[in-house]
Amino acid sequence: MIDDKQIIELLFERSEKGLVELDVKYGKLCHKLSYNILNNRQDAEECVNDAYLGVWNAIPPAKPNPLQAYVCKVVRNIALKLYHKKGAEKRNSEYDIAMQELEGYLPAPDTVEAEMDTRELAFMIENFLDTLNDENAVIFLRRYWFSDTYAEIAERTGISEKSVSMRLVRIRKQMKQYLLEREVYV
Amino acid sequence: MNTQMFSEAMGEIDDRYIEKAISYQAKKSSASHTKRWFLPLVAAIMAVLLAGTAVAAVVIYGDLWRQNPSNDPVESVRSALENQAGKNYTVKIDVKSVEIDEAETERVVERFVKGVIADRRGWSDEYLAEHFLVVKAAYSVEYDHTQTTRSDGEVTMYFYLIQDVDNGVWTIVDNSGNVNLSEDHSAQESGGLSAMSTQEQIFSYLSDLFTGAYSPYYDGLHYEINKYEETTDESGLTATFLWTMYHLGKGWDIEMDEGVEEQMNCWLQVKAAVKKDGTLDLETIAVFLDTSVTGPANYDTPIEESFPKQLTD
Repeated sequence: MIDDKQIIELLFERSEKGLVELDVKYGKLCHKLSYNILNNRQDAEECVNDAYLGVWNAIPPAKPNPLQAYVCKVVRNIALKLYHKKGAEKRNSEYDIAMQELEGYLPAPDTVEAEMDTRELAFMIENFLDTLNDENAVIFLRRYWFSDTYAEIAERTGISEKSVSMRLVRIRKQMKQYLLEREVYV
Repeated sequence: MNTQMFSEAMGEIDDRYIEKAISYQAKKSSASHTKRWFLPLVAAIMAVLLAGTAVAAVVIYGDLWRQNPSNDPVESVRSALENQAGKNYTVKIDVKSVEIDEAETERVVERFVKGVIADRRGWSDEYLAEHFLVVKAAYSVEYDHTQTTRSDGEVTMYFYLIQDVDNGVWTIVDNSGNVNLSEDHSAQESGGLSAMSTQEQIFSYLSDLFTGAYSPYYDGLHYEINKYEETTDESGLTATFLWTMYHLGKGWDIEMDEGVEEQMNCWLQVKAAVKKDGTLDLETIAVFLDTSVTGPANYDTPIEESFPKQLTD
């Protein structure tokens, strides 16, 4: 398996081998991520192919570092677009379940004007993540960014599924409190 | 819809968070006795609360670690470890490495020392930057388990040291806590919550809660429920029981109590909604402490209010 720098070099040379190597290295991760959101193999496949096309078009001139996070972001964005385009309510994906968990923990604004824009909210989420220890930050991200199941998070972190569930309850409570204290409305 | 906006915002967080979430792998191994729940400054905190200052406790009540304070913090820790061989419950100890851990120093200062502890001790940021250190030590140890309940094996321990400004000597004021035992209760978890009785679910929830609150302060935490009673009505489940928390003594007041198991008992009441599958709805669970001294029980205080405050400062 070649390193990220070599993959980017291949893409800069407009060599399709760059995409092949990208798939060899990150294909499994990308498919898992898109499937967690879409809950449909065909849609997940379509999403990953679109993401590779997006990467092909973006590099060059982009030279993302780290490449892994960049590719995941592209996959997630495309998967979410597809999710909303094709009717979210019928999917019952792990993403749906994760988002349902968050309902009630996101302080709602009294007025539309009070809503933050997405970038500001992302900044607040980053600040909140910085208040968590590494393990809890990873648990939170694996659930609400990657839409991993509790079992998958438990395996990754080495704690039990039950503990993952309890940690997430507490982290969501902490996040709500954090956002309320800063008058962040979503 | 606010979850959609939240999800979109999540998509814009910095790559470093994503990288960390991708590359993170569990550091714990249940087969080893690696201690990684260091947080503490435990005794420093407990000594502040109970007896004034940690240093005073060391001087007045004796030195837990039998250290030979040195101008070199690594040597202070090494001597303390080597001197463990002289304790009657230590069969053998083999020190493998001792080193200053800058990252852990920074983390502990930021998370635990700054604020209440530093204010009470009169430690400025500048003082902490120069006179507080965390030293990481790896060693293997074997204890006589007829004399102590301390777990042994391959141990990684973090020591917290302060430096005397006048003579430059570094003294250990505390060491890290023990493993988070609540997360080792995996025997109950093969079938998840639904496979557990209500009492087991409560036990599991409380174990996690108490360990989160007390692991910075105590080693060897484990728990027990007795005299359990429960009732269920339309509003959900109410359970009352005697909760016992076991921990290993730090020996601050009586040196010979170091490593000896102690216990704390309290009556608790747990209220929670019950889901259709019979599991407790963890998002509704509330735990109250009986604060009555005599007479009828008075479950009027959320258990969180009785926990040490430093962790949330």
